[in-house]
Amino acid sequence: MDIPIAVMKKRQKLAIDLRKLAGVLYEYFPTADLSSIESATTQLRDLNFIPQIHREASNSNFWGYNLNRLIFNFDTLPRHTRPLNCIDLKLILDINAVGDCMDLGNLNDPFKWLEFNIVIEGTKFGNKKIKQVSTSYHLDRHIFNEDDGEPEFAHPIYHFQFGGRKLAQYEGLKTGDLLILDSPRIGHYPMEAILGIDFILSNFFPKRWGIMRSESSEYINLVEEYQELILKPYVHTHASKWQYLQASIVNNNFWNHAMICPQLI
Amino acid sequence: MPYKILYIDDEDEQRSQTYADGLSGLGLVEISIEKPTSFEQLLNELVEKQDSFDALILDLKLDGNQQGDRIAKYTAPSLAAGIRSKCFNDDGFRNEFPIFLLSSSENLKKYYDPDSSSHDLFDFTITKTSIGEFGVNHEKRITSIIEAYQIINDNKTDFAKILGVPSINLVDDRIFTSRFLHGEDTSVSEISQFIFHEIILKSGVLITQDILAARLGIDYNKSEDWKSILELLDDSKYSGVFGSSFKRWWAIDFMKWWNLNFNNIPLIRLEASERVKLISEKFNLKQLVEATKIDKATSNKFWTICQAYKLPLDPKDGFLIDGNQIFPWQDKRYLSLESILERDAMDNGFRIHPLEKQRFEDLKKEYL
Repeated sequence: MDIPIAVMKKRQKLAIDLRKLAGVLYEYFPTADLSSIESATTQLRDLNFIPQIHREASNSNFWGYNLNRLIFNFDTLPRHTRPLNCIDLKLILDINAVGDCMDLGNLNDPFKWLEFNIVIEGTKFGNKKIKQVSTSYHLDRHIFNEDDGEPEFAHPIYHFQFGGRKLAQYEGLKTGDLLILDSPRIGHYPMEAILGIDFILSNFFPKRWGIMRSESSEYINLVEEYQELILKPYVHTHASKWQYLQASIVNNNFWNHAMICPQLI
Repeated sequence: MPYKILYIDDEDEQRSQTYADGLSGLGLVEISIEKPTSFEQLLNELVEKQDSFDALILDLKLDGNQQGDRIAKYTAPSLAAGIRSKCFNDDGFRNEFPIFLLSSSENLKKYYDPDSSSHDLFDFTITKTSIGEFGVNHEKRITSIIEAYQIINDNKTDFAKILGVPSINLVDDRIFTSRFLHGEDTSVSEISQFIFHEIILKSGVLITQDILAARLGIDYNKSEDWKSILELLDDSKYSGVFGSSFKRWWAIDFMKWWNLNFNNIPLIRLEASERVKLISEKFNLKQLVEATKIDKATSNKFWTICQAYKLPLDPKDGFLIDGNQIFPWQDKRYLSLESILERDAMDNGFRIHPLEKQRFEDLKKEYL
């Protein structure tokens, strides 16, 4: 299956943007480890690589990459961290994204597959015992099957969830006073690497995120471009439930797009 | 045919001969010894006999001995600079050749190390005391540098040939700037040193056996089937310049091999035990031993090594090493917590990045 030239061009553009992202991130997060961005760009530029999706036929128009174990170190403990005696926290991110190049740049769903896992790990010291502690969140594109029937839960196509199966699967998990169960699947806009990392920085590294957003035009341009590519189709489709006139939209200091979604540029 | 090397030293002949013998024990090179003389005369002599040697070894303090009829008033860096500049003259050297520096450790520290401007004049620096123990390694390295010069000289800007790949498009396009690709004012020594220092010695596009084994989760010293693994990975092996004395694998080809054989299972996310299990089952290799964590490390999802111990490490557990800026296509280098606490890192000349100090202090407190 030959990959059309136009598709390769789009894939190469995605690869270049990932490299740009790595360059900016290393400036502001010198201790981060983003080495798998290199393998992701290799996949995007590989003429023989066609991303595969679980139980679905592949297509030479697909783009996709696996970004695994991107590591960011916390300089200080995030607020309200429990247990108290845990240190050396790091955030580990995996992103597995596949989409169809034909769906980019219009209002189609930009992904065919999306797995976005955030794991935060730390080390807890106490009573001469040293333990690893962790928590996790994930953003998925729900996998719809023909024979699904009525879903048991509300499954927004893109949903964020705390813990869930991934946490419960964790071997040797001791929950202490914490109760863990499937938490609500909260509808959220879809995110590839650039928007995903922007989201993470905005939540877990807000200071440096703010600095990047005020200093690095390269970063701002990247985020803006990908919001248009990935977020816009989601938001427009969502809003299309209702008709409205552009002139009727209220825009003031407390009710505007940036208040609704602070990541929006 | 062994390569011919001219060794210029002002020491007494017997001592010079001992060093020459120590560096040519494998018979890969033949070393003849010459005493230095006045700058101009020596340069003229070298130009005249340029066809009779493939490389030079220079003693650092050529002006140490002021007895006899052949004496010098200059040191090796001045001579090397004179030689390099004569490589591009009509009446000078027709081809570039490697220049190696030989010196006692004390002289090196005193006269050479502080003078960083002259460091790129030499392709390799050898301390006299190391010859006894490492003469064989030095000889291999010298040979590979001479070979590299000849291959680069013959192929100029054909980096695919120089690196032993079918097409330069397969190599990361950020490595060679257009100045290199078009051969604009690049010299053989510059290309050779760039490849050696930035591609061979630093992990990134190429990886060492230690890192390869770490990524496979295997302790290769304890694994009888390691040889079979290397055979399976033969297509990923680096065969370009310096490859004969520095075993390296293409990081990208290795990943392609993995993805092809293991259906794109993300290797980096697997525990060492899961990696070894998959490999053992797929290739029916029973004698593979899983690599283990360095003391105080928390993860065995190994991807790099601790530079002090050369043992597998998950970058998550690593402390970034302080040092020169790296290129974006090079891997970061790390130290394990244990190697810093035990001072082995410092003994090996490694320090942690200033941004890691607080993290280190916090952890150190817990282990005191």
